[in-house]
Amino acid sequence: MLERIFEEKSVLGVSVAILVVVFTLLFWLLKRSKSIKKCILLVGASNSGKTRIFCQLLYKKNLFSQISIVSNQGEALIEENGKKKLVSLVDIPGQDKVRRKFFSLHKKTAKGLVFLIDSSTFQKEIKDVAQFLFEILTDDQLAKSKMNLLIACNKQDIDLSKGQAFIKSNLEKEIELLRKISGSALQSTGSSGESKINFESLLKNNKKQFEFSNLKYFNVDFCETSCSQEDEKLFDLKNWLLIN
Amino acid sequence: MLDLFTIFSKSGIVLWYFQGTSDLFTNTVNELIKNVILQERAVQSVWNNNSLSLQYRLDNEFELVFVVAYQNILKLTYIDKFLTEIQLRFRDKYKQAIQNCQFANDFGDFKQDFDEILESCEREAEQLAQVQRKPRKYEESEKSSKTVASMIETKTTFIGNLIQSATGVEKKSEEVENLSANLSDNFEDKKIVSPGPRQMRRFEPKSKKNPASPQAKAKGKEPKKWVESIDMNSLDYSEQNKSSEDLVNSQYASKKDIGTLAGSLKPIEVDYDDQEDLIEEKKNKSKPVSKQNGAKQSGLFGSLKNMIGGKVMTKETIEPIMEKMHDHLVAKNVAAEISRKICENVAQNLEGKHFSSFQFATSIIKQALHESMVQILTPKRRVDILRDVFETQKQKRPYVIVFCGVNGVGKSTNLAKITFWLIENNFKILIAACDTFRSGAVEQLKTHMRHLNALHPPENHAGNTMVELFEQGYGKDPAAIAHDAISYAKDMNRDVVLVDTAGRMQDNEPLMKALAKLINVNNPDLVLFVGEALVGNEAVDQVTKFNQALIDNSPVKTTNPDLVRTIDGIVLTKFDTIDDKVGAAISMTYTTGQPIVFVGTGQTYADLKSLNAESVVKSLLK
Repeated sequence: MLERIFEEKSVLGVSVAILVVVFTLLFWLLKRSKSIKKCILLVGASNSGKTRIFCQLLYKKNLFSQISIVSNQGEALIEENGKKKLVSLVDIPGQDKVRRKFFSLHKKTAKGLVFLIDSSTFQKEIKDVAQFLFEILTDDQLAKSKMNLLIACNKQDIDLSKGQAFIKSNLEKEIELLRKISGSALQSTGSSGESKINFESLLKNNKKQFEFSNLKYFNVDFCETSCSQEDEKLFDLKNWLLIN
Repeated sequence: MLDLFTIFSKSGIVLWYFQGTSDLFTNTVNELIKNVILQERAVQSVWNNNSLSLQYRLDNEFELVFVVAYQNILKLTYIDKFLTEIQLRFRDKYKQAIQNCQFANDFGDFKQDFDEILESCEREAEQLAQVQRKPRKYEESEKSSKTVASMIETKTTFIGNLIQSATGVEKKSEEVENLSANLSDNFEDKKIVSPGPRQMRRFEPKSKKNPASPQAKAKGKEPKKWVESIDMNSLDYSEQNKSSEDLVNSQYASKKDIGTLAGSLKPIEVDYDDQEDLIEEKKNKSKPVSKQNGAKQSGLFGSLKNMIGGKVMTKETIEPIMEKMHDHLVAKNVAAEISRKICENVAQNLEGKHFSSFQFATSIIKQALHESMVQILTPKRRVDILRDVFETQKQKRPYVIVFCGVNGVGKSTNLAKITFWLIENNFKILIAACDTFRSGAVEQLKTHMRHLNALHPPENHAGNTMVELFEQGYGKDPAAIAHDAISYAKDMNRDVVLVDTAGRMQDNEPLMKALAKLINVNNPDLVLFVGEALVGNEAVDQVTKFNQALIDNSPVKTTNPDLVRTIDGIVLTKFDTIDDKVGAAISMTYTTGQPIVFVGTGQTYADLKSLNAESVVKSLLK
């Protein structure tokens, strides 16, 4: 009886097609599940030391770096206190011209963010740094699920660099000001078409001044880092990477 | 002889470097990246920075950059060849390492290859120079091959040579002889006599011979009657005889616009009525996966792509497609020169890149062009005027913006729109009327001031008058008026000073000098160039000449070139008149390298938007 059914060519053709479609779907689903949310993104303003830290973590070598035009991707073996973990890192270029492109490219696969700040030039660049941080905090794709954010105050080896407490309080004041400016604008689009959420909806408590602990969708930590050869200080960063 | 040579990956890691001097090279190379590579101006062969000349080569397959720097005064001719050879040698030697991104490898043994190639290039250049420097021997010159008889010039040969050089056609000797016979007749017979004193008298004015009728002259000219009866009083707009209701519901604004512009400006949306694109947009909204980078295909084809062999982008594949793209962009009102440069830059960035056989070259080039243009339109620094005004408020001084541009682009109109936006954000404005040339300029600003104050009366803003006008009539020096306006604003605690200048053509040197003087004397926080979106190739000329005039007339040009004030931003006006031919945005941004800060989309106060790079580029490439 089966032979009679399969004798009709159309039935044979249809069943083969269905089988192919089923296999394709299975294959595609398998592939897709591998690429979701497993990277840690290194972001920050230009010259904050992202590429240096990337090299340090990946190659354990202190290499010279220039302005990045494209992103760096790689798997780093992080070892600290006897614990080991393979972490997938992505270093997003910090230049204004290219950072939005690479950030929107990689944010889908991000499960955590490390925001690097150049502590020695922080006072001069605070407006740019705060603007970038504000953009990250109001990004609608990141706000869909809880995200861990580490704000690393880099270049601590330089004498005049500020400590994390100073940076934290100043950033909070800046973001409070940016929140006042963005005002009552409802959901809007950014200048490159990404969707931005009203900042007020991202806070647990609207009435207070802005504080990092007040964010609904971000778990913010601070740490100090330095990757100079004489005074390497990466254990806070490494511990955070091991936990997240 | 080379000051510096480095090889680094596009992602920023330095693989190998050679330093001829002891200065740190990072800053110089960073300047090159910021000003040339990131600005998509890749086509220049040599880039000068202070006393150094830099040349570079991009390797698009392995994402590497090779940079050479040498002193300006040395004119080294072998650099192109040198870069090509080094590139090939490095690739061949370290192919494995680069492909696997093992950037931590020790590339130290490349020094020998580098020295070898440098030596051979220098030697070849020397030899070439030697050959050129030696003077030719007599036997080699042309003269030695000619006979003496052939070199004697007669009239016929002279005229024959003239004809040949003029028309490029060699005439036969008989024709030349006939021609020369005719011409020599003309030359010899005509006696050109200079007008003697007697002849000169013929040209004296004959005023005494034709007296005009005295009666007609005494009356003088009568004004021409266009309309039978005009009431002169109804044409007099100088008095404040309009009620505030009229002002609020005028052509410029209505009550419903109040409160709509608080916060940052909304970005512009360019509509293009193409059915297919509407469908594509709907698809994009449902799927959160963004297709911004064509290389990230869905997993299915991605793995297959790696299995099947790929093709390489060559000049032959790129060129015809680039021609079409160039024509397309010019049709969309991008300046021809700019379109050519952008296409060449994209071609340079794509050469040597590998792509799979599943992808079409056209789509890859289109994608690369899209990314390149979005990058051009993306600002290279933070643009947030509201934040900067808060900053100057803290410093207890006014934030000064100067508007400049050619005639009729919409400076005063957009100044009024920006004033409205700033008032919505609760800042007190002072408008400085530095257009002392055009009739009615001051009255125009007065009218705007009255409208704006009617829309935002002092009662709503704690008793402060939100807009004031500082004017000193017509004919005075604009730089002095601006200076007085700024000190007035400082005394009266105004937050922002908007300076309106007269429109001027970019070729008018005295006016450009005056503008440069205004800017240098008053040192504003922001110099905005106002350009209309309708302009085509003229945009490049306008912006270049304005910028150049500001640089040339700057007092600190030689002492401190970093402090020279040039155009800081662009206001693109009349955007509502161009539908989807938005190319002027690209032309202006590419020429100056400065961002578009405002976009004007109409003549009412609420028609002010910010630039949306994606939307503009999408409509450009449709």
